[in-house]
Amino acid sequence: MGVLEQFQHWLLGYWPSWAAYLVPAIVAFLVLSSFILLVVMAFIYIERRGVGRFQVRLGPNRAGPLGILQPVADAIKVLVKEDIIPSRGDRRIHWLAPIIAFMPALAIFAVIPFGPRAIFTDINIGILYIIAISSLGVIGVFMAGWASGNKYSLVSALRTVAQLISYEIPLMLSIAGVLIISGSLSMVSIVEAQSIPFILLQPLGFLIFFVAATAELNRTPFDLLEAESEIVAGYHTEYSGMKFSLFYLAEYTHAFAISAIVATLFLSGWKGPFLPPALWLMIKVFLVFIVLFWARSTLPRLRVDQLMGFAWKGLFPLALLNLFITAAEAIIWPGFPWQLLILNLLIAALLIVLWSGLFRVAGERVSFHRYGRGIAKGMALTFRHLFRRPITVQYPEQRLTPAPRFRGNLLVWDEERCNGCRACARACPVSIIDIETKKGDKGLIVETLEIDFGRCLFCGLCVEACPVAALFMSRDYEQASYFRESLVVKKEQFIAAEKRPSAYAYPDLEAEMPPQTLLAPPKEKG
Amino acid sequence: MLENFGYLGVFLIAALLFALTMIMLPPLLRRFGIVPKKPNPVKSSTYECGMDTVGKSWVQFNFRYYFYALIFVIFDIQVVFLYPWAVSLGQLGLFGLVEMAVFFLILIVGFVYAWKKGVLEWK
Repeated sequence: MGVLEQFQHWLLGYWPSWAAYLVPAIVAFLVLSSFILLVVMAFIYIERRGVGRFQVRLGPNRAGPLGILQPVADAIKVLVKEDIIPSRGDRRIHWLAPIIAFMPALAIFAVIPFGPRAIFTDINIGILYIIAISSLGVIGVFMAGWASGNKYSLVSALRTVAQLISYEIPLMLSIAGVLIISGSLSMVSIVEAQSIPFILLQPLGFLIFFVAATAELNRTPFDLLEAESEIVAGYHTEYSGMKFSLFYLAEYTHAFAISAIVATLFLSGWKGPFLPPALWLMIKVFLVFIVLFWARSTLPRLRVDQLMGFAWKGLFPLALLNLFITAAEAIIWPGFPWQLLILNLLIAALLIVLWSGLFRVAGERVSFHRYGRGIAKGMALTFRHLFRRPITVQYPEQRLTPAPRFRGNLLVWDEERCNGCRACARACPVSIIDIETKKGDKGLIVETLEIDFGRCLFCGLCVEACPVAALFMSRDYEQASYFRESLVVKKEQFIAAEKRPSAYAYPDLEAEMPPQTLLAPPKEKG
Repeated sequence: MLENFGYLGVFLIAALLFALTMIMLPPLLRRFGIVPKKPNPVKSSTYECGMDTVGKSWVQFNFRYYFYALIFVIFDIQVVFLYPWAVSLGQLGLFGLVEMAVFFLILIVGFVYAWKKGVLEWK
């Protein structure tokens, strides 16, 4: 009996039956949904930071210590953003789509067991319910793509359906292998049946399920429906504010749900020594999620024909073979002895290597020797990046030193040395140097000097033309302005400016310059 | 057991209300002037990277998807038969396995035919 039922039985002594039935359910829902939202926020944070590290960058680290408040900042932003509905779109469906996309992702959690008794409701067809409801989210995505009145969104909407119908079959077939061993559809019984985690008994089934689930989540390398290099942002191109964030939430809630399903079906769910059951499940969920975004930061996106070819010619036959091998094993060795672990591992390896050489996708053999090794090498590379120092720096606090001969904006002008010969003005190919002189006691005195950096080419001809070494390129690289006029620098500003001459055209200066730090940032941490 | 499905119903309704509440928050905040609402023709035009949309947005689409959908429907229904079978394979024994293998074989013939016909290729 679960915690929920116990609560209900206790309440029955005091309250009428309908209230005793309804109130615990609503309380449990609120607790569960706030927990889910919290985990989703953690997911978003971990993924953004983690992908940052996999790609040797810092990742978001401004909001709060180590950027931990980034999801909160995002939430506030989407809450107060304007909601834009395209005029060509279908208003009603545009409103409805995010709700339909989000609800199924949340509804999966009704049957996820967080512990032997900590489950919202242990229905006897748990896994069937999950399969039924989890694919409903696609309808929301399709509605969004349709209602946007945008061709890119429509392409995305049709792609997501194509992806679903391709990967749903291998997904369901790989679960069937688990069902043969466990002999039950209830999530609690499936976990209880795992004296050995099913990942060991069903290594091939696990791999197929994981790949198909990634495709169903629409995560890279299967994120064709929001392929930003092809179709802007796909189905949510025309969405902003809260509606957009519901899609975003739906994606991560679904990712959480899939991680929890993988943990429950293949990694023996809440089971584990010493620690409390819910904690064990969450550890496994986070591990699965880390693998998900590890793959995301490593693998490139597939093309749509490759994607569907891979599903139908690769995964589907493999899933079928896996199912019948499992069924045969169930009849020959009903108790599933431990010797089967080794046998199944061998069968999985053999089948993957053999089958991968047998079919063509887009006219090319998907040889395991080529792609399997490529994927493994890529994953290893990104994993090594995790421990490297990020290349990016915390910009305003930490700055990079440019090359000694860097041609930056703002020339450095030495008033004492300038003899007013106007060689620089004559050399300038875009005639932006305006210099006026008058006769003084010793020679020419510069009266006005104006250079319009809005039009400067940074060609350095003025510096090369100067006969008295009064003009230098500068090493500054930060100049931005809201007004064009402020880019015209006058004589007084040149005198007042901090002088950071570059070694361009003056190689002697190079010796005293600090070394360039483009790829090796300074040691201090931001 | 029926009670459990009742709970599931409560969960589904609550999830729907949850999503509805979230989506209704910004219109509520708009009353207090926190969320802006300033539409203009350019803002609410279709976003196609700055180009004007040509023709209808609801265009016709590649026929390829239709074949995949056909194969999907066949195997989807077959999986519905598969699940009860998988759960009770222990009781059905060898007979059940052979029975399901025959059932699959019939469908697989169709699948292989479709494959050889080039339905799974994009041209």
